[in-house]
Parts: sequence; structure tokens; C-alpha cells
Amino acid sequence: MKTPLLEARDVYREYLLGKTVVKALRGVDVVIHKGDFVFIVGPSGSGKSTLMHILGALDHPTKGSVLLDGKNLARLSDWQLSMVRRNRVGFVFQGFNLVHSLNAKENVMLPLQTSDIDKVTLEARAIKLLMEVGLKHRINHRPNELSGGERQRVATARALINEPEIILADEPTGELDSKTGAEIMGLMRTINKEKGTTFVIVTHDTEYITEKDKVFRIRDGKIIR
Amino acid sequence: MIKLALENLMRRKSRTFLAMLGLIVGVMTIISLISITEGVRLKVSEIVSEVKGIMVVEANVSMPMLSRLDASDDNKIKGISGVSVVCPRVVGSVVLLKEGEERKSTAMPTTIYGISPGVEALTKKGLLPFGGQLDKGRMLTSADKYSVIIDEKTADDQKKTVGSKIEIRGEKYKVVGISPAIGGQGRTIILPIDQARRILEISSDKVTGFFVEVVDPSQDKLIAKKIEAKLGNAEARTTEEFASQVMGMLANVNSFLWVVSAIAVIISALGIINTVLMSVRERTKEFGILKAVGWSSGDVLKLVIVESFLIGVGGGFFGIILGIVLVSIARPLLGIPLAVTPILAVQAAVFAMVVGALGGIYPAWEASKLDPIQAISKE
Repeated sequence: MKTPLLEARDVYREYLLGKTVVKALRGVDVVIHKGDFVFIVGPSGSGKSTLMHILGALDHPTKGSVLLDGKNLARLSDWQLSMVRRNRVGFVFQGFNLVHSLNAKENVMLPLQTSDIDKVTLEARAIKLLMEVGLKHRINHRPNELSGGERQRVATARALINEPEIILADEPTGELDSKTGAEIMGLMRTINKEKGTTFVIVTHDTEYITEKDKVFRIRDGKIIR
Repeated sequence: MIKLALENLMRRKSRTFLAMLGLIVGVMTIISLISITEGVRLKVSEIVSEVKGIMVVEANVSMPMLSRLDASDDNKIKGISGVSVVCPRVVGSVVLLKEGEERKSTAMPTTIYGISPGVEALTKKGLLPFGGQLDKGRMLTSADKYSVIIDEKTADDQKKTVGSKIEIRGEKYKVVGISPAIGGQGRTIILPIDQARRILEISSDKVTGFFVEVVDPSQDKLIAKKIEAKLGNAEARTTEEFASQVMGMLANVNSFLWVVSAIAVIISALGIINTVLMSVRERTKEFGILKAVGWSSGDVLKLVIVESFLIGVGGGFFGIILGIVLVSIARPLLGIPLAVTPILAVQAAVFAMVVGALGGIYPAWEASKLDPIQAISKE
């Protein structure tokens, strides 16, 4: 049997909102294999973003374990988690989350700015990725000079700069019109196919899901079948 | 990291400039104040090295102007072996009025030096306050009666030049020479001792002191003791002792300046903390993104401290440059050899960089502790 790339086992996540304890995840089990194109689908407030943060080493579970290549992320220190994010995971956020003062190329280079990779190599890699996502002529443009679709392409290129095994995307089409949303989804599928990068896409929108995709439906912090 | 920090600072030029401004003013102030005391110290050493001798005044008076000694003490001092020349002096101050001007309580007094030109000419360096160097004109001679040497500040104030007449207490004197400004005090007139006595209302058998030149300068302390013993009511100090007393006072001024500098450090650091903290809080989302994409807390901490350190470098650099400019402007006005020494510039630069880095610690810590999930969701 194939070893999972990423696995959540009986994950709970609780946090305090004022004086109220919010139970965002209540015993979630997820298994993701290398090369999978996975959707985590659910309504707003179902816990899907919390699950994505935990799977992407951005947050610790309150209980349970998250295994990346069999290694439990729940036991890692903050520094070790940042190294996991820097070296093995890529993120695409709903609101693009680009740094407005940096141009497209600089935004793409950002995750590895503090790594040992030399500047010339890093710059060349960023330009190559921007060309791959169709932004050859937008390399030196700042986010406010780009359309929504272009911004999401920059965010996708940024997620790819560290050659991650897995990209986690939180509502990547959420702020895009349906045509641009379809283009972005198509871009992600191409990367998945050509590079073998695993994708975990969190969405409340089911229109982009195909029969081949693995889908986890989440409601009230629990996976439902 | 340095390039990235520099780019971040350049993107927020006005904020960076504001953070630097406090430091620039602090460094500039420290540089100019310390240069001034250093300049006064150099000037005093210069005068002392040029004019070696003993100054004799009445014992236990607070100011040389209040001293009164018998003019006949001149002969008593001359009788001491090793003494080569004894110059009687009369020192006091008057307020000079321009034509048609009323006397004001705020008017700056002018120092009057009464000397015996014939005797002064026997000394090796000539007139004590100027070390014998004049800008224009000539020295006083024994034949001069209503002639004066004025310093350049008095010349500017009164709009006089060599050959002009200057009025002192209702009497007209001819300006025969113009000397450089003396120290920071300025406004000095040198004239024959008898005229000075009349102006200062000192009786003809009194002087305010003597300047004594000795044959062997290494014996000056011994001779000073002999003078004190012989005159009884006099205090005789070598110019070196006088200089060391001035140096002692300057050391106190220097300590005071370091206290002022310490206050400048605190104010500059608070300014930097304030602006860098504001900048960090404005960039919460940006730091959240950095952490989400793999920057560690340490990387974020380093970035903010480097940015703050660079503010220190910039503040130090421009502060030193402006300090040098200020000192260059002040040099001719004060008439003392002001200079920003390399050591002072290095001290100021180190001070600025340390303040910069220290000022960034708290904001950097705050930025590094941000929770990436909360930070990126912030609008």
C-alpha cells in the first residue's frame, strides 16, 4: 500500500473566541497521497480553513497528529514548522496575500529570500515560474497594477518557488470571476499533471471538481462522507 | 537581508526620514558641542604653548578684574632671580555705545587690557591675549597714548578699521591694529596702561596684575612660589597651571555634554522605537505573509532590527555631515580652532548604529511574535 504524503489522524482544534471555546475541528481524518488533486469542501465556518492551516504546518492541532511523510508535525517547534513551510509546502491564499510594495518577481522570490540560495539563481527561478504561469510581461509589475487573475497567478508562482511537494490553496477562485477562476484551476491542474505537485484546495464551490479528484466534505468540524 | 531591509526603508521614504531625523539632530548636537569644547581646549593649549610665564593677581579674588596690586610690586618681582620681564596689567570691562545709542542693560561688555607697550615688546611673544599676532595694523609702541588695538568682533560691531576713531567713555582713540577674535568671548580693546586706568577708574599706583616672563621656563613654578612669598597678598600661577585649571573646567563641561548626549540617546531611541513600531504595526499583514511562506520568527526579528540599524547608520551619517557643516559655520564666528576629529566621528557613528539597533529590538520582537494566521487575515 502507498504511504500517504500527508495525513491527519483524529485532529481536534479548539480556540478561544473571547470567553467562548470554539471547536473548529472535531476528530478529522484525512489521507493525501503524492500527486493527488484534493478538494476540501464545506460551507463557511465548517473548519476547512483551519484544517488547511494545520495540514500546511501553519497551526498546531489541539489533539491528534498530522503526519508529513510519516513525521508528526504536531511535535515540531515553531522554527521547525517554518522550515517545513519554507521547504516542503506552498500556500495560495484567497485574498492573494501579496506584498503590495514588492513587484511580481520580488513577491515570488519572497519565501526563499532568507535561504542560502544565491540571488541570481533565485531571480532566474522566479522569472521562469512567472513565465510558466503566463506572466512574462508582468514580471516587474506591482500587485495593484495586476488584475485579480494575474495576482492569483503570482501567488501560485510564489507557492511553487521552493519546489514544494504539496500546495495548499485556500479558496483560490474566491475573489475571481468564473472565467478567471476556471483559468486558475486549469493552471493548477496543469502544474499537478506536469510537475506531480500535490494540490489541496479548500473551497465552498464544487463546480471545479471532477470525478478523478479526491474530495473531503467537511461540516461542523467533521468529515462527512 | 540588508538589501531587502534597505529596499523596505526606501519604499517608505518619509517614515524612514522621520525615524532618522531624531538621530540626525542628536548626532549633530553631540558632534558640534563636543567639537566646541575640544576647540576651546586646543585654543587654550595653543595660547599656553605660545605664552609661557606667570600671572600674578591679588590673592583670594573671584575675578582677575577685581584684583588690585601695588604698581610698585613690579620692582619686588624684578628683584627675584630668574625673572626676565615683568609686565604690569590693568584689566576691566566697559560697555561701548554706538553713536546715538542709549545704554541697555543687555549690552555686551568689552574687555579692556591696559599694557605697557615698551615692556610688552621685551617679552618673547608680545601681547598675551593674542600671542602677538595681528590681522591688520601694528602693535602699540611706547609713544602711543590715544591708540588702541581692537579685536575683529569689536571692529565689526563698531564698524571700525585701522585708522578709524573709536570712542571709549567719551574719549576718542585711534585704532592702530586689529587682532583676531579671542576665544568665544570676543570684544576686546588693548590700550596703554595709563589710559586704561583712567577708563576703569583705577588709581595710578595700582594694577590688576602682572605678567611675568622667566629666563628658564622649567623654573616657573619655583619662581611663582617666590613671588607669592615676596608679595604676601598675591597669587602667582604659571600659564600652565592656569591652563590646567581651564582644562579641568572643560572636563566638567565635557562630562555635562556626555550627560546631554545620554539624554539625546534616550530621545533618539524613543523616536526610533515609535516610528519602527508604527511601521511594524502597519505591516502586520506583510509579516504574516512572510511567516506563512516560511520565514522563521528569527528571520522576521532580524529583518526589523536590520532595518532599524540601517536607520541608525543613515542617521549617524547625515548627523555627522551636518555636524561638520555646523562646526565649519561656527569656526569663524567663534574664532576657535573647531574640528570634528575622526575619533569623535567614529564615536558618533557607533552611537547612532547602537541606538538604531537598540530602538528596533522591541518592534522586532513584536513583529516576530505575530501569529501568521491572524496577521494575514488582518485588513
